Amino acid sequence: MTAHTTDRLGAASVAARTGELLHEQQLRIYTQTDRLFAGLLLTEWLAGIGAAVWLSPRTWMGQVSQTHLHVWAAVYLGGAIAVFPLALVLTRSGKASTRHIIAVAQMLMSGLLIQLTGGRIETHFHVFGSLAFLSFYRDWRVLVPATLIVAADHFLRGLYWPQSVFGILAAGQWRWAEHAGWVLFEDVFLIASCRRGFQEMQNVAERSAELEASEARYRAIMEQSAEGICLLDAATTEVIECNAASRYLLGFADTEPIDPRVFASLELSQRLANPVGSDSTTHECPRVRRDGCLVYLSMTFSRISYGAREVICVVLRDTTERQRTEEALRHSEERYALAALGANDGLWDWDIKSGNAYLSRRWKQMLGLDEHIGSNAAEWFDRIHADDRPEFDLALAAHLDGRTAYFEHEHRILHADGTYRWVLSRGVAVRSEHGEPSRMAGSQADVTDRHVIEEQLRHDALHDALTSLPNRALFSELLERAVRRARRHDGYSFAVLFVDLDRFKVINDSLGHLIGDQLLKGVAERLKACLRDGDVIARFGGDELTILVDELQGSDAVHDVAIRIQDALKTPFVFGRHEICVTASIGVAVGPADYDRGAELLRDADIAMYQAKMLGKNRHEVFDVAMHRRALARLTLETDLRHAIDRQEFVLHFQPIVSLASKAIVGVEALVRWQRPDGRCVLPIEFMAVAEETGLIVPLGTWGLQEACKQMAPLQREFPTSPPLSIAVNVATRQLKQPKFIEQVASIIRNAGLAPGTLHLEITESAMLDSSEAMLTKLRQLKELGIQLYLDDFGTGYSSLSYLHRFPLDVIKIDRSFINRIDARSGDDTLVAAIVTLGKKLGMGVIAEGVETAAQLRQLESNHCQLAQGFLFSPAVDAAGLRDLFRAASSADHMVPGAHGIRPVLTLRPTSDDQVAQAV
Amino acid sequence: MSGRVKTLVLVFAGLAWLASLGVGLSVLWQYEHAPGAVIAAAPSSWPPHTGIGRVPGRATLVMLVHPQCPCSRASVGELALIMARAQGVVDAHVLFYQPAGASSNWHETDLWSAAAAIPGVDVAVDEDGAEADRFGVATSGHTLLYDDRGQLQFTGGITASRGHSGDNAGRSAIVSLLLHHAAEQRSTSVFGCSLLDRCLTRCGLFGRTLS
Repeated sequence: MTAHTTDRLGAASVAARTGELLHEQQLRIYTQTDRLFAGLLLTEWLAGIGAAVWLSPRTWMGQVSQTHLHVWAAVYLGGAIAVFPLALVLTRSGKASTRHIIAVAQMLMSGLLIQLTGGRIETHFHVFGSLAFLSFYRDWRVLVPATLIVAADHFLRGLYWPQSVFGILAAGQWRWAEHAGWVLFEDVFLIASCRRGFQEMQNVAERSAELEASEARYRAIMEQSAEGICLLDAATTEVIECNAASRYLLGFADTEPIDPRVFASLELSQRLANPVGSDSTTHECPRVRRDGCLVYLSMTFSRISYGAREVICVVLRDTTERQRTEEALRHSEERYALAALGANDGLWDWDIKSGNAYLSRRWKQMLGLDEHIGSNAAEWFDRIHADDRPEFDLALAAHLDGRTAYFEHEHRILHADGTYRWVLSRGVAVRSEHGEPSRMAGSQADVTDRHVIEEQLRHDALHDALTSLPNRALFSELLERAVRRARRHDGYSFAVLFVDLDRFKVINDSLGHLIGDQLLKGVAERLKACLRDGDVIARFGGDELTILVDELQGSDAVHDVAIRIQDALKTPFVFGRHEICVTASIGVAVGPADYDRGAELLRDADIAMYQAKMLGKNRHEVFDVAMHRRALARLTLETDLRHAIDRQEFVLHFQPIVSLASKAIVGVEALVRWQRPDGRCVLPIEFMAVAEETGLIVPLGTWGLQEACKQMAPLQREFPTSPPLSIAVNVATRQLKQPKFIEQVASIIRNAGLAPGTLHLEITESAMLDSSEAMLTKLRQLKELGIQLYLDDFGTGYSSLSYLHRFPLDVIKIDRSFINRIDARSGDDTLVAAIVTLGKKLGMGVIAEGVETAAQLRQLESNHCQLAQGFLFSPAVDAAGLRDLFRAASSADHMVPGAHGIRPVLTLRPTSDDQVAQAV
Repeated sequence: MSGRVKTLVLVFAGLAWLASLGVGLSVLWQYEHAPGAVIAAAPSSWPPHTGIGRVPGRATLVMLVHPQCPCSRASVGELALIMARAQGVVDAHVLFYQPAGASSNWHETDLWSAAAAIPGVDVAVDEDGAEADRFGVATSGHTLLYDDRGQLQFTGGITASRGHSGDNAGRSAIVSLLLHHAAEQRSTSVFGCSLLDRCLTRCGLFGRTLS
């Protein structure tokens, strides 16, 4: 809507309102004048009656009188003239017909009064006066009927009493013209006066309408204003006027008067004391709004003129939101300041166009700079390290160009002390609506410490914490680098040495990890000293060290290195009161050969190391193809072994244990055989070592124990002997160390239904090495289950005679190697005899293994060995073969040569060889 | 009642009102302009038996007035105007009717006082209307003018209507006769109360002639 349209509408409404006001004014005037004339007519009527009664009360005939006609005329005629208009005024006041009737009545009353007063009232004066009174209506039309009455009166007078109109002394015609002229003059005058009065009324109405419209506009503005506006009397401070918003803000109801005390304040007092036009003042205070909310109000006081008096204009604004915003901003700024302070970062603000930059105090402190350095961005950029500057510029440009969301860059920056500090600068650009960056602001954090830590972490990630040697990851990387270099350069050669400390675990376990760690560090130092500058030694893990011999000059060089290492380790390590001698098994793999990856070299060096271990340790072996093949075969065997356990490819064979005295079978030893899918039967000696190393011995041994008991139990029942046939099962040291081994054995015996005391467990001498209380307890627990303990392969391991006292052993089994020597006529039979005697002395039984010849048998018998087993009596046979053997043995009652030499017998009834039974 | 009906009622009432006023005013007009009774012609010369002394060589004006007649107040007022115009030229006598048997001060009204106050006017009592008979006057306010030779020059009233002051033919004629010895009109109607007890001519509200 245009202003013009608004004006037109406004003008139209003003015109309409003007009409209304004019009409109201007219109506008011008409009504008032109606009433005035009603009163006047009434007064005239009474005056007429009074005049008639006073002036001409009676008419006379001699002495006789009667009421004068004037009195009757005054009463009735006057009443008639007055009453009708009076009735109209009471019922139709303000109507045009009423005032016209009044006009007629007034002229008639005027004439009547003139008559009643006998000319005392000057005719024209009364007539003109009446006409003038009629002009009070300000309606010229009212003069028309009045003038008509006058005209009629004059006409009739002119006819019947001309002297009363025209006079005597002047010429009638001229008098008539003059008279008419006077009447016309007065009429014109009065009409003009009425019209002028009407025009004035119209002007007043128009002004009033405009004023009303203006007031309505201002009232609307005031009432619709969201701000409260109150006017207070400057003298009394009473509230003169207030809008709805002020009531609402101050918490007053619409009709409730506002208590001026709510405005009481210093600012109000100032305004009251100062004149109109002086500066306004503002007071802020909390207030409970009408809806119960606590708000903050801003009261602005100003002294103004308001008509004839001075008032204080109070403008109320709800500043709650502003207060909250300011509060929030204050909190935000505080938060920001605290965050900046807490973060301890420096702040910067760069005006890109001018090049000026604000650098905060903290920023300068970070670099040890003076507070009063320049305010140019060059103070920052010129301090950046030359090596970092190109990247810094790139990162900055990327963000300014809009390619990155924010700027972030770590770089070195010159400290005032001449060193470089690492800082992390972050920032974001402020752009114009066209995307042009005009300003950039951000922070700078000193990350020097973090860099140091990162370096340290990086170092730690690639180095061993204990020895500070490169770790496996770094060594592997260096090794790969050497491999790649070898690919690029013909003639470049290098070697990898895999150094494993011999018996380190024993040392670690016996002397503690502290000593073990010191040992490792000491070894690392000595080995480092054995190497050249370009060589690398790393801790591969545990007690394994790897060495990269760079730029190998001939194959002998690696031997020299290995020998130097071994020589370096010959000197004992002394740690306090501990003197430790340590050796190393070294595996060597020489590159580049056909190696594509460093891992392959490590693998082969590791294989060579294991070879060195197997060949007796404290030596070095260089990897060759055969070694690889062996390693591969071993790996294959290991894999097949795992599968064999899953596929149950193992079977038990049993070899009888025979009493040498009676040649009776007293029991059997269960031996594991691996029946491979290809039909080949693999002996334990081929896979046991791998099983032991890989831990597969545990499930294998458990299976063997279970199976042996399960198979033996029915044989015991089928071939009852006295005592019952025993079953001897080999148990690996690892098995013994299983936590639930005792429970497992008990469960197996129970589930198999084996005769009590018939299970014999054969343990090797390596188990004796663990002389811990736990091991002893386990062995005793086995004994408590009625299990006899055999010491297998006696004399071949690390046996100590003291073990024979400590451990609750029942039988010593003489290793076959000793039995094999009996025929050689060496002194070994003495050993056998000694062992048998030892056993006897210790109350242990003795079983000779691997008896294959009669001579061996005779020798054993002469030495009073109680039991024996071997091919001479029977090879190891499967369960079916064992049953057949038992049948055959139980059917013979004397020894006859068997297919293998001696055919043992199976005495199904209790034997008379009590020693053997007791020994067993 | 619809607006149209109201308007019609109003118009009818207004017309009726006007009509009734017209009738009333007409009656009043007629009364105002009803001349008094004339029982005899005025003597054309100065009556010899009158008690009023005439100065020869001077004009004499005689007005006969009922002292209670309100209408004659205007006549006395006109007389004052005549005397003011023609002072020294005429001797004026105002005779106030006093009926027989009335109290001695029956005639002493404001009219008596007003007439007596006019310079050049001599007031007297007309006992029982004897002079009125002599001059042939029956209506209060009847005025006669005799010239210096005693000849009747004017007879009639000197008000335009009953009790109404103001220019009138009678006053104008008398003044003209006194000053100019000429007048267009020598007689006019007399508007006033009857000096006679019996109403011989028009009297009463409707002007019935009674005997």
